[in-house]
Amino acid sequence: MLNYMRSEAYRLIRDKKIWILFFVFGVLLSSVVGVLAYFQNYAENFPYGNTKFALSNIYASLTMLLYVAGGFVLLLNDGDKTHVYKNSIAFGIKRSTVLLGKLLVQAIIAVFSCLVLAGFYAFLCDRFLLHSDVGEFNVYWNAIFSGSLGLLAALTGVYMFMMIADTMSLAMIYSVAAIVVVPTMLNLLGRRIVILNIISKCFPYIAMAEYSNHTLTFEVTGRDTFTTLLTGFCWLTGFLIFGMILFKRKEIR
Amino acid sequence: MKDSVLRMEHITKKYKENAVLMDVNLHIMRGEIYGLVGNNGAGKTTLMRLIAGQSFADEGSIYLFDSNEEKKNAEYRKRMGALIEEPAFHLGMTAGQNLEYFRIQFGIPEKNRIHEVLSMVGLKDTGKKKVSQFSLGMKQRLGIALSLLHSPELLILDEPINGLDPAGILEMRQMLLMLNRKHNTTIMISSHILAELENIVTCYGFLSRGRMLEEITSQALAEKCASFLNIFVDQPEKLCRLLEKELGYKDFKVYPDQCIHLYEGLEDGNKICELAIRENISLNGLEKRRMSLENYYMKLVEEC
Repeated sequence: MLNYMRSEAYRLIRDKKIWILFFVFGVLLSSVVGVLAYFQNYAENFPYGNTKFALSNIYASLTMLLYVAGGFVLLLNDGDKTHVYKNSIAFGIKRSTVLLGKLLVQAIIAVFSCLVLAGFYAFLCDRFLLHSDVGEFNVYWNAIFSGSLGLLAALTGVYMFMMIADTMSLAMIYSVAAIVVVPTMLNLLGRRIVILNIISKCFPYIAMAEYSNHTLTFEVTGRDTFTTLLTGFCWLTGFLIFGMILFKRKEIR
Repeated sequence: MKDSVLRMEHITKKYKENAVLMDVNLHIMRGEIYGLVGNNGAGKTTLMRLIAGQSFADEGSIYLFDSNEEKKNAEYRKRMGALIEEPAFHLGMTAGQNLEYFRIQFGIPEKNRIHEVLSMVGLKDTGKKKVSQFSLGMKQRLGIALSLLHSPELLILDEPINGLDPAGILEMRQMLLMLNRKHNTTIMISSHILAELENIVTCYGFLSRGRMLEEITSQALAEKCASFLNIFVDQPEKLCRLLEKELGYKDFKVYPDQCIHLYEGLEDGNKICELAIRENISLNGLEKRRMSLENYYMKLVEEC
């Protein structure tokens, strides 16, 4: 497993896409803060040039990060249309090693990237924007912590679908359906049928959306954090097991 | 005494209701160069994918390196190199980087092994060229380089000369013979260009429509590939009736291009000429020939 992970790390470090992604997000986050700071300094009564508003763009929209997590995996695995891992399997590397090894390396890079970019954004807000001093940084970091397992679940889900599905298009359809569409539909129907509403809250997408709503009024409770983490953990585990079972018998061409 | 490096017993593989391999038995002994012969759709690639663990048989067993436990196949595959179907590489990396990726993965400590295998396949000067810019032949060579990276005892090659130019085909043949003779590497190779197989193979397996028709050594095959008389006439059916009636010959075959292959009476060319002239059959050609590998295979398929 370690050798496999080392080879994947070797590959990904040489992949320009990761560095471009870092650069693009860095520029994006800097631009957001830059624009807010500019208008704070030069526009009369500009109400948004403060840390609370800037950070709320993240903690009040955690579900947006699910799309980013999914997109991140798609980007990293975009070049593997020819199933390079078939060489690894022909060499005798176990399928579970291939599946988990790739995932672990990508998850580590994703977590590292997330923390670096989140820290970078918090630093820029702290440095260039008006401090709101209402505990917004605590809410921000708690939100990132609470949403971490949900993000990892989304990353794992998209990855597993990519490894199992016959085409990229199918993988994307399954991913969007499982992570976004199904919980959204259940949530909508849940407004009429209570049981469906309860079921929808078991999906990370809805749990994170509810968490985000509570952050706006600074009413996040321990229960919210626990629920978000638990749904993330359950779906992460579920996607892992589901992926392992199906990949074990997949015909590799 | 030679030991077995690959044994496949009663292998059956189906895709939905379509059986692509049916009760296939195959044996390869150490040191052999085994040629797997079959037409398109015979099941050659499927067979190789089963050996490489990329697919699973519905029935039957596969044993590698004289083992009696299928569970250990994954471990034994580390002693095997394979190039099956299209070679698969990371297109954004160079040849060297791709091999380095697999060197780390396979746990091969010698870094200079990469340079060695690239030299063996004629790719040592590709430099910073990415695999996405490689021709088909170059990708094929790189695939072979990868299969040799960990100095395997058993090499599985699925049509390795696809995309290679004549010089490349010659180099490939020489390299495989060198590996076999110098390192005792056992090789399983499939190819549509049967003439190429004839140059190197020591043992054949003939596959047709998912069934193994015959396994035979090249020596036994040479004995079996009987000579025949190749007769070109304008009325082949009439001559055939006369051959049977007048000369008692029954072992012949008529081909669409008005050609008869006669497998007996090889010294009776004069008698056949006289018969044709007497019966006003225009004789356009008569020569003694030896059955080629292609013809042997086609005859085998028809008989089965």
